[in-house]
Amino acid sequence: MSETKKTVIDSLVRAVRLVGRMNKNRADAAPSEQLYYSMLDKYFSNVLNAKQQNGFVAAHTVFFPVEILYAMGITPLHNEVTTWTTAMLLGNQMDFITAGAEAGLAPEICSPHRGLAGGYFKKMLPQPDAVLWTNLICDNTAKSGEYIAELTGAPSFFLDHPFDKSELENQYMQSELRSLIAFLEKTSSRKMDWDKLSQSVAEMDKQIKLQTEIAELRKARPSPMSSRRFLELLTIDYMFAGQPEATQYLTMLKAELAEKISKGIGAVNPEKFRLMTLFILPSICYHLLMVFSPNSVRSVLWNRFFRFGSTTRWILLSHWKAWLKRVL
Amino acid sequence: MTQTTGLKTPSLEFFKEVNRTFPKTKEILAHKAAGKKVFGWLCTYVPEEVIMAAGTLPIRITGYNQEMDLEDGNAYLYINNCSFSKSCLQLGLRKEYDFLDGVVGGSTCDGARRLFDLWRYYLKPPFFQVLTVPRKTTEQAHELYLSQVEDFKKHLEEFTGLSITDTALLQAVKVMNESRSLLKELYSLRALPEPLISGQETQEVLNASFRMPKEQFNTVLKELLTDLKQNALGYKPKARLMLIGSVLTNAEFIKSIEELGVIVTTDELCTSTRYWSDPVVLEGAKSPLAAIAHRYLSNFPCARMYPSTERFDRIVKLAREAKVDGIISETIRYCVPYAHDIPLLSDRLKAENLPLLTLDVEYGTSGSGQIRTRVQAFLEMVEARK
Repeated sequence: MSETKKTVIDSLVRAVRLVGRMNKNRADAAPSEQLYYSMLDKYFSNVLNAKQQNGFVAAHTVFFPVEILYAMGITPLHNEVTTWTTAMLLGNQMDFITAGAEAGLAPEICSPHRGLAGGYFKKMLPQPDAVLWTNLICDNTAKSGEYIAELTGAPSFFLDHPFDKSELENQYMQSELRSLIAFLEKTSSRKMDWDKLSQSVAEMDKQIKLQTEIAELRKARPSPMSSRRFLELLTIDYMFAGQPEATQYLTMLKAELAEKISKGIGAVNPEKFRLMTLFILPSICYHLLMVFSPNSVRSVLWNRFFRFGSTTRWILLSHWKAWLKRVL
Repeated sequence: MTQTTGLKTPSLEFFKEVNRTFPKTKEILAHKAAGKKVFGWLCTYVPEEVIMAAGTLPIRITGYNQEMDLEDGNAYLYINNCSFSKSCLQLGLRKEYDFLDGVVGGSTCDGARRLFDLWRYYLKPPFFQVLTVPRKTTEQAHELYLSQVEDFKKHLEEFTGLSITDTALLQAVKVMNESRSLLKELYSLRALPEPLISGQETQEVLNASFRMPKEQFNTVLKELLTDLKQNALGYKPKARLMLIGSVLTNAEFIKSIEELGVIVTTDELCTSTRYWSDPVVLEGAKSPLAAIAHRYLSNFPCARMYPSTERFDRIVKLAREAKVDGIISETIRYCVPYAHDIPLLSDRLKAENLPLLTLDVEYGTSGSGQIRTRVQAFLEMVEARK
């Protein structure tokens, strides 16, 4: 990190700690929730303290193989999760989106990426040491990374993910991953720890299995998990893929859900409706989730995006894993 | 006011007639009547030469020539899909492309991919393929794209029962390169101090090139070039503009700009320079197919490609060559790659002292009303700088 100017990360760390403390005092707070907030605290504190600790921060877009960054001792900064977490906890999404308009991005571009660009344009987000992005999951991601790289002036790498999964496309992906690692070794002066990467790949196996089992448990009637925690699962996956803490979190959550099911405890009681959403829940308006809370509609959200979107991610994880294995 | 529609030659009228009758042009129907196949392609990353070498007529799938009420397109595609994909789909759903034996696309953008999904599902063309198109032009990316083109060739051979020989590929390259060379010559007449052809007229020529056999197109284009050189009076525009952006086929849009007394002397669109600009270079290539694949991936890049600096560099070069006074960027609403390029492109053009007007439009728009007012204001600014 090359700057010490205060950014939203400072506020985010304070907010995460506050929410974590409040959670501890909740009678029904699950241990996995406490772990989740402590993981967020550690994640954003690492970003915040990177400069003092001679760290190297790589800002990256969604669906980026963070396992590589962790294995190289690089501090990841997940652009989209960071902005949606600031939106949820600090309620400042309009500052980001307005800044995106000021940066010249048209309203037709999706608001998360307008907000991201705005965050860097107005220096609300910290100056990264490198900018990394892929073309997953849409054209917005493919293009926004390049713009962020220009805005920050940081060294950058675009990881070009092929359209399909033929043998040659696999080979192309491997060459892209090798180029990424070479780029990171050069710009960060850090070496890839291949043993650590191997451990991450093995850890990913466990996490894919756990995510699948959790999705199955959520189908129980009444559903044991509230929709509010859906974003936790996404965050864990996006930010901590392949890390032992993520396995620990998922293991705890799975056990908690299984216990609830065995006792017939649902996230809402009685469970009147079971709903399905088709995409990510509205992180910029968390209040909407409360509309479905026990005292109002008495329903359970079962998120299709989580089920299938996350499945997509697991498929991707499997691919990363396969590719990484071949790179190893 | 500059003369904008005065050029009347049989060759230009022929091209206009092709466009008036599209998609079911006389030329396409004649090809079908001869028992030959017609393939529709979408996106400039699909190698037409391979289709031609299979004895098949490649035609470009586009939407309506005008802005239309897209009832079917809106019903099947999300609100944030571009109107180009909606317009194409609607024509397909209304059986305007029912003569197609195959559809080939590139994995270029979200709008195109959603269009392919629906086209395959609802229209079920006998042959269908989407080529993986890398966003980079590294050596590995070229290897991948070549493998895609090889796969496409094989698939096409299986479908047609014909072998696509190197001889046929070389002949297709010859025809396509001649088209490119003739279009380059046309553009040179357009960029003269007193342009011999307007932007609107050029777009008519380009549109026709997508919608008829290339050999026939080349013959008529040669006639047009001769007519222009011998008979055309040069335009005397009060300003020279460049048009850049995504896909545009409605020549009326350019006409509405040129009616303000200017000439669009060059362009950078999916349906213009980016389509024809680079020839297939056979020298040094491992095979004709390798040369074709190399050309398509390293051609004038569209906004989806990385890095965007090459697109920007080429825009600036074209603008300088055509001595333009200003640039109009037309981005189809919800076309993410082009919309994302605008801030960086604006900075670059500002640094190059090239005025830029950015327009968000719907595909097929004729450029009336508010657009015309904005162009007028831009022209006042451009003229004041002269």
